[in-house]
Amino acid sequence: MNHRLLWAAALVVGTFMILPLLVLVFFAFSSSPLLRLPLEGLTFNWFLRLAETQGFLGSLTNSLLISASVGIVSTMIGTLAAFGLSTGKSRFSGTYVSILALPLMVPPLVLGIAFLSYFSSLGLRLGLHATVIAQVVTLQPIVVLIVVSRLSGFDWAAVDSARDLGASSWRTFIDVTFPIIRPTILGAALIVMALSLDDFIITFFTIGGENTLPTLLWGMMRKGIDPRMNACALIVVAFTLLLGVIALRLTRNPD
Amino acid sequence: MNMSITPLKIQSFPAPDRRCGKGTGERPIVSMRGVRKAFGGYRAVDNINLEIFPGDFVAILGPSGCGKTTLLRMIGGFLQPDEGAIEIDGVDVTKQGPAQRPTNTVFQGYGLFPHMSVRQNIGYGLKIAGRPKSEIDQIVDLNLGLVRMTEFAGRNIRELSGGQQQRVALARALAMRPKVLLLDESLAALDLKLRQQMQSELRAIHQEIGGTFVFVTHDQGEAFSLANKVAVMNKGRIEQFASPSEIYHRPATSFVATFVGEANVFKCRRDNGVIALTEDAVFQHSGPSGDVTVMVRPENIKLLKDGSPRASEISLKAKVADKSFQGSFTKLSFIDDGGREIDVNLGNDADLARIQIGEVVTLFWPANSMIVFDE
Repeated sequence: MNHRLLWAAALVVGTFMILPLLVLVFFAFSSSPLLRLPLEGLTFNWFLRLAETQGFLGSLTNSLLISASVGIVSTMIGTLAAFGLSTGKSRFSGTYVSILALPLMVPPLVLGIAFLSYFSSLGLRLGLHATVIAQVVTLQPIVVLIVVSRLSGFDWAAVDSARDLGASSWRTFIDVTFPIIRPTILGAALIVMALSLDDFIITFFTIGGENTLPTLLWGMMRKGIDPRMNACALIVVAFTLLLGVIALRLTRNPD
Repeated sequence: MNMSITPLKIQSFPAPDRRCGKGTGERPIVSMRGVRKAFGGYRAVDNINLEIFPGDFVAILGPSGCGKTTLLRMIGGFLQPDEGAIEIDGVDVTKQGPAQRPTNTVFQGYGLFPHMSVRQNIGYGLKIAGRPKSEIDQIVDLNLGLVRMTEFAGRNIRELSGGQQQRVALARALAMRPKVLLLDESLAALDLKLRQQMQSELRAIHQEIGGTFVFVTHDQGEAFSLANKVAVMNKGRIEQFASPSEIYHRPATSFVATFVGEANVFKCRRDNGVIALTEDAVFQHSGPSGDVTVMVRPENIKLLKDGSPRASEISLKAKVADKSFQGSFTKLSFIDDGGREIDVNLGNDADLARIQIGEVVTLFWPANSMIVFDE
């Protein structure tokens, strides 16, 4: 009985989670411009048409630029914060982590509007740089949380040992601390890059006249649905999945 | 019953005993003077004066939270004392960090570098010191042999068992040939058999290469079997610093007496030079009138079969409350008229079968096996 319920639940999840993705993949290769089954034939045509679409290459470049910058900056900031919070003796460390994690709990729509009005009140022009700043703020808590949780199980005796054997604090970091937590930091960076690549709301409010892949898709959708969008979405999904899989492998505990 | 036993001079804080050093004129390798360390308002280490001489194998023994690890970390340079000075080999190192000090530590969790091989771990300190590659290889091989890990040189740390990791950590510290080797409860994580094996190997290594070893432990057996001098700590203070045998037979404080080995403790009074354990068990003991603690070890108490005790012996009647076989001896628990519990350890050759629970017997012990502490 319980088994049947479980299977039913799994079926519902599959129908609404995995099937849409499969449909997307199918229609990206469908030769018919209409989104309907059965498939009449297979073609790479939509990818070529997508590449010719005005603004596509610019959006792709923007997406990759933003994603890479957000990944690097938020990982650096988040890792430093995580170290400060983990090694500091402050009894407010937990509170600080919660404050840093606040952007995760505020709805992105609210954040988007907040950034828009804040940037314009500062006189900061909208554009890629504004999007990078806004995304770093909203995504750094993910790095902080991942690195803090890794450091909570960190063997500080290894660091003490390195100092004991004569290494300076910098040498200790380079030789011991960083190599041990490198997979975690790389994994956190990749997760943040995947989330950045996907982001629509924050980007939409802060990017001004530019486009990323998600905002380009949104613009195309307003003119009607055609298989080029499936092809574009498939590219985003492929990048995200790739980053996610690498991140999961890297952040997995070695034991 | 009329006797007197030699009164012991009780010091709440014994001065370092220089006679235990190698020679009277020798300079201590580690010298701590008036060292204090507090965490928040809590005094972890309180006015420590300690002198350790070259070649000593010293145990810092105490219950958890007594400040023994804090003391060791201050010798290693991982903590700075709030007050006082630490000298190592005649140099004031109070302000120095661990990298500058001629000490090396084997940590409780070993602190090995998981991303390096066994060989790289052991050679790390030498590499930092800028020694040439050939010399590093030679020293690493020597120390691998010392801890009998030669065949594991190329292994990854994660592939090693706890005991093997322990050996690597020891070899890594020894490779630096520190003037003082510090061990922080290093054997605590190992199971009993492995721990005993490591203890005898540590002893052998100390014999072989000499040097000064200082280790922290809460295990009295470990302290006694390894060390030639034991510092018993309680509440941030060293209660006694002496040889294991002196600590066991002539404990300086009632804490040492009860922490080290088993002890029967009688809280009673001394009035005009007479101490009465019970109405019958009375003996003379000179000293000021007031509260005293009298201690006698379970193995010093015997059962009186017939006759009466000699003048130099104390006796009292008590009821058998429990009897438990402990392997090499049998522990009997008694309760006397005053409701006090008295433990007695008897060899298994004694007429144990005859002793019934609930039976009242006469216990006796030599008066000079008692130790009296003024409160």
